[in-house]
Formats: sequence, C-alpha cells, structure tokens
Amino acid sequence: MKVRRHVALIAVMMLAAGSLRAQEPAAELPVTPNTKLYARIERTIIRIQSVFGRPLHPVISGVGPGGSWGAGVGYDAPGRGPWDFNAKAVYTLKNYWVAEAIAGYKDPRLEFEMFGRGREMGRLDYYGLGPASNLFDRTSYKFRDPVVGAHGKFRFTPWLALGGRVEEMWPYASSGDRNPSVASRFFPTFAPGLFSPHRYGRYQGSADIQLPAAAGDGFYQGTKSRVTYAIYDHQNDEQFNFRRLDVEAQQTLAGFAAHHRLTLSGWASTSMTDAGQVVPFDMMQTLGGKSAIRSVHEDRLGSDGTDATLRGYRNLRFRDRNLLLLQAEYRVPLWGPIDATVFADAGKVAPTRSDLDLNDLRKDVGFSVSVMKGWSTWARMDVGFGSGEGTRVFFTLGGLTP
Amino acid sequence: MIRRRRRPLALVVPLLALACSVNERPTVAPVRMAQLWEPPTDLEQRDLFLGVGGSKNAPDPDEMYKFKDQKAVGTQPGYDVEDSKGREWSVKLGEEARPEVAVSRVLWAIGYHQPSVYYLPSWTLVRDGKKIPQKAARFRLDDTKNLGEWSWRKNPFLHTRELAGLFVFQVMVNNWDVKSQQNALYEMKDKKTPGPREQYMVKDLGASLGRTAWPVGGTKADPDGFDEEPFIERVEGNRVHFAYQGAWLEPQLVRSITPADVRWTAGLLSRITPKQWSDAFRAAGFGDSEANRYISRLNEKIREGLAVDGF
Repeated sequence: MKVRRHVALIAVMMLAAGSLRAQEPAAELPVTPNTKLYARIERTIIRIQSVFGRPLHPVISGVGPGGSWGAGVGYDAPGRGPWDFNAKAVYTLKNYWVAEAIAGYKDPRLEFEMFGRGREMGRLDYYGLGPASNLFDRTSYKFRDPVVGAHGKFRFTPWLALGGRVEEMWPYASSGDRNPSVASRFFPTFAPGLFSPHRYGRYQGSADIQLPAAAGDGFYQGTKSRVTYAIYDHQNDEQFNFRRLDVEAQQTLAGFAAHHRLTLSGWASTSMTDAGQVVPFDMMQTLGGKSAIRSVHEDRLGSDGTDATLRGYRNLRFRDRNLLLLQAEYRVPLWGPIDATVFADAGKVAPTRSDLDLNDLRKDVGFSVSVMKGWSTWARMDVGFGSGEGTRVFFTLGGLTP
Repeated sequence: MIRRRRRPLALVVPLLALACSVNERPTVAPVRMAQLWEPPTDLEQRDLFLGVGGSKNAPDPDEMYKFKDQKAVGTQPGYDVEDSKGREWSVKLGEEARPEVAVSRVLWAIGYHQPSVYYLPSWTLVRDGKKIPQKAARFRLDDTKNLGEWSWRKNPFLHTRELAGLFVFQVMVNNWDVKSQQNALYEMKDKKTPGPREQYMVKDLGASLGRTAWPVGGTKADPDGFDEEPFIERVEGNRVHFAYQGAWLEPQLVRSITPADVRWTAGLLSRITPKQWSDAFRAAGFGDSEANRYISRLNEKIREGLAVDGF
C-alpha cells in the first residue's frame, strides 16, 4: 500500500516536473528600441504636464509688452463641475508684476466670471497720439490698473450670444522706467490723463453673431461678428468720461486646397465724448504688434487665431480715439499640428471718426508658424515686415502669455 | 465718388450670401462610400460578442501559437504568430488589448469596417520549441492585405458625414491617439468576404475608454477617467466644441464637427441593444461592473449627442 502511494507520488512529481519544463515562465514583454525612445519622450512630457497641471503649480509667463518673461505661482482649483477658480501671481525680469484671482461658471449656454486683478507695467511704449506719430519719439510710461468686476455671456442660439461686463478700475499712468520717459516729451498736452489717478466704472454690453457657412471642411467657415458698446464713467472727474463702440467682423473662406483657409477681418473702434471731455491716452485702443493693454479676459475676434494688429510694427505703436484695422490671412497646414499663415495687415488711428477712411493706411505683410491644439493655438511665431520700420518677430505661447 | 465707395460693398454682400448659403456635407457614390461605411441595416442583429469575424475566425485559447516575428513599431509589445491551421495573427499585449476589442465591436456595429479581432485572457506562445504561457492579448486575424495607411487629411471621403461620424465616434470612446498611422486600407484576401474588396479602417483603437490628454498622457481602459471627462462643451456657429483633447496630430478634425454629425453618430449608436453592449465588453474581457460603468457613460454621451442643438 505504502509502495503504491510512493509510486503515485513520484509519478505526480515527475509529471509536474515535466510540465514545468514545458511551461516556462512568461517571457518579459518585448519592447523594441524605438518604443523605448518614444516611451521616454512620452514620460518626459507627462512629467512636465503633471508639474504644470497640479492645482498649485509654477507659472512661466509674460505680463505685458516690454516686460520680458517672468515666473510665479498659480492655483487652479481641482474639478468642481462647471465652477472654476484660479489665481496666479507673476513677477518678470523687467519688474512687471500681476496678481489676479478669477472665479467662473461655464456651461454650454452660460459663462460668467468674477475677477480681481492688480498689475504694474513700467516700460510700456508711447509714441504720441495720431496716425503720424514718429518711431523716434518712443518713450515709456508706467501703468497700474487694479480692477475688480464681472463679465458674462449667454448664448441664446448657436449663432447669437449676448454679453455684458461691469468693472470698477483704478488706472494710473506715470513716468516710465526706461528713458526717455513720456513726461519728458509729451506731458502735458500730448499725453492726456498722465499723472491723473483715475477711477472708472465701466458698463459694457456686447452681441456676438456667427453665421456658419460650409460644413464641408476641417474648420469653421462663415461669418463672425461682434458689436461692443462700453460706457467709461469717471467717478471723480467728468472731463475723462467717454463711451466706446467697437465693431468687429471676420469672414472665413475655403482656400485652394483641403484645410486651407482665407480669413478676412476688420475692426473699427470709435470713442465718443461730450464737449470738453477727453479720453486718457492710456485708455485708448492701440495698433501695432501682438499686444494690447486690456482688462481680464477681454479678447477680440481678431484675425485667424490671433488678435495681433499691425505685425510689422512695434507693440502699441499707434494710438488715438478712433481706429480701423483690416487683415487678410491665408492658412496652410504644414504637418500634423503645425500650421503656417501668410498675412497682410492695414490700419490707422485717427483723432476723429471722419478720418477713418482708407487713405494713408499703415501696411505690413508677413508670415506665421503655429502649433495647434484642437481649437486653439498652443504656440505661435509671427514675423512682420514691409512697414518701413524693420522686421518684427512676436512669440505667443498658448494661454501663458498675456 | 459715393458710387465708387459702394462698389466693394456690392461685391462683398453677394460673396457673404454665397458663403452662408452652403451648409451641406458633400456625398460620394455609395459604392465608394461602402469602402468606409455601409448602412448597418442589421445593426440590432449583429453579434457583438464574436464581431465581424464570427465564430469561424475566432482563435482557439488552447492552441499553441507559433512565433513568427516580434512587433517592431508602436508602444504596445506584440508578436506575429501562426496557428495550427496556418492562419496568421497579429497579437497585441498590454493595456490596449481590452479597449481595442470592445471599441472595435461597437464601431463595426454601426457600419464601419473593422478587422477580425478577439481577446484571449491567456494563451501559449511556442518559440524555439519552448511553450511560453502568455497573458491577455488582442488577436487580429491577418486575413487581409495591408495596402498602406490612409490619411485623415486626404482620402476619398473628405468632408463627408460618414468620415466626420468616424471621428465623432473616436471622441465618444475617448480614443486620444487618433492619427493616420492608425489607419489602414485593407484588401480582403478571401474574395468571398462580403462587402467591398478594399476597405478603409481605423485599425488601432487601443488608446480608448480612458481620459484624453494633449499631446500625450491620456489613459486607457480607465473607468474613472472615462466617467469624469465631459463630452460636449458647447456649440458655436455650426461647430461642436468637445472636452476631448486627443488627436493632437490632426487638430483639423477637432474643429470640423457639426451638431448634425454628432446627432448622426449618436443616432446609430442609440440602436445598439443592451445585450449587444454587454456582449461587446464581455468579448473584451471586461467584468460586469466595469463594463456597466462604460456602457452607462457611453449611453449618457449618446443622449447628449442626440440632444445637441444646431445644424
């Protein structure tokens, strides 16, 4: 009996040993060299994304034109459905700074934000008022514009949205950090409002209309337009009261090949005052470059993926009470997310509305290269020339730059 | 003088009117379209457990699969193997195996061509005479001749609803790795195979059922990530903005979808029966509770898609 048991045991052990020989442990998953390289790149990107994607994260950003790049800290409240809260503080190499907090709500029809922001920019360019300002009159001014307020938009239909904005702001322009300063060349006659501490209530309404055309291409074709009317009510000094009307239109058409597109856009802005009233120079709309001094999330329709204006000129090159800008931009997809455009800009500023004609427009041409992220541009370089004021290069990095 | 100023305006107005008058997607001949999509007249009867290959093409889990080659591209490890009947298989290991099979089943259900893919929870590889047990894998039958990639940007179906619908589907399953390299034009080796000889397919659907991210770093088969990611953010003009962040190599796709495209795709998906949904996920080795989470979220997206406003 015992012997039988032992034989059975040995037989089972031999069978097990045989099966072990045949059934070797699972081999390590084969990973080819190119896969390893790709995986390493992917891991690096994920690591970078994870650092900047944390609720409390570093920020690399500019604050305004002439301020260079800066660094700071940001906070994005983690997922709260349609509610959102974020804040950031940044200090740049040229001593610009910004600190802001924004709380918002967003659903498919309604979006609104409440915000507070303080910022200071010490080297903004000022060349004087009017269409004939001279490049060699370049001066600098310091601008501080604390603001609190709210803005929102309700989309009644896919083609119509109405919006509004209410703000209290305290803009103040003074001598700039870079010589020559505005005070040495333009004060007081040609820089209205300089050294005057302002306090404004701003009450604004807007209508956005989008009329889509062909669905048959990989992008939106059709007409977008926006009309904005704003009242700037000075709380202390009525002589600085003014109203502003902005009209923008953008028409996108199919190009000569699939995914090519032509965007034609126009922007007219006019400021209105009663007798004896003036618009402070630092509150005027500007032409030139890619930057403008605006309030929180105050965007324009702009051209194709950019709200740059005259790209062959320096930032903030021209300013006055009235403004006209016409742009044409042709987009060509180069590879994957890389697109290129060629563009032509023409525009002018004018002291009176009747001067807003097509005579003596400032013009430039140029090209851009962009990295696209779905609907938005993640990074972009614009090169403008043909203005007679040199070649200008502007970099924009997604939402990181102002 | 006044007349001269009005002339450009007189030109612009008809141009604008013309631009706004066309809001239709183009169509292509049905024979051509059948290479990408065929109306699924028998959608509710399709067997989503066995898929397009049915039981006759299914791999045997007890079979010894002979090693032929090692996969040389892509992020997921894999092999080319041969079974005892002489059939060749492309085997994909790793985390993409399950989502790829489930999503392929559903895509085939709504009329898009798919290769014969199956999921085996375990199998045996024979290499250099040794039997090596393997973990779960996706098996794709090599019963087609790969004629090459087809591009999302340049193909016979450009701008059609069916092509747009194919992308909407990728958004709905959160396939974040949408790129032309995942597409193949296949020629059916067996002339008796129903349907056109040449078929356009999205063959690699593995980066699905998770959270999307740009440019990389999305998750796969991640029910929490899949649940948390919203579907439609808003509609502007006649374009739908998705929360989806994939397709970084094809950003034009993200900007191309109209509400009608979403409704069309959601309409097809809404015809899938509860049993078919369950079969598709069961075939891919998902447990009931996990499968139910995916199915529930997909049905939420279908309802959202059917209700989207606009034209």
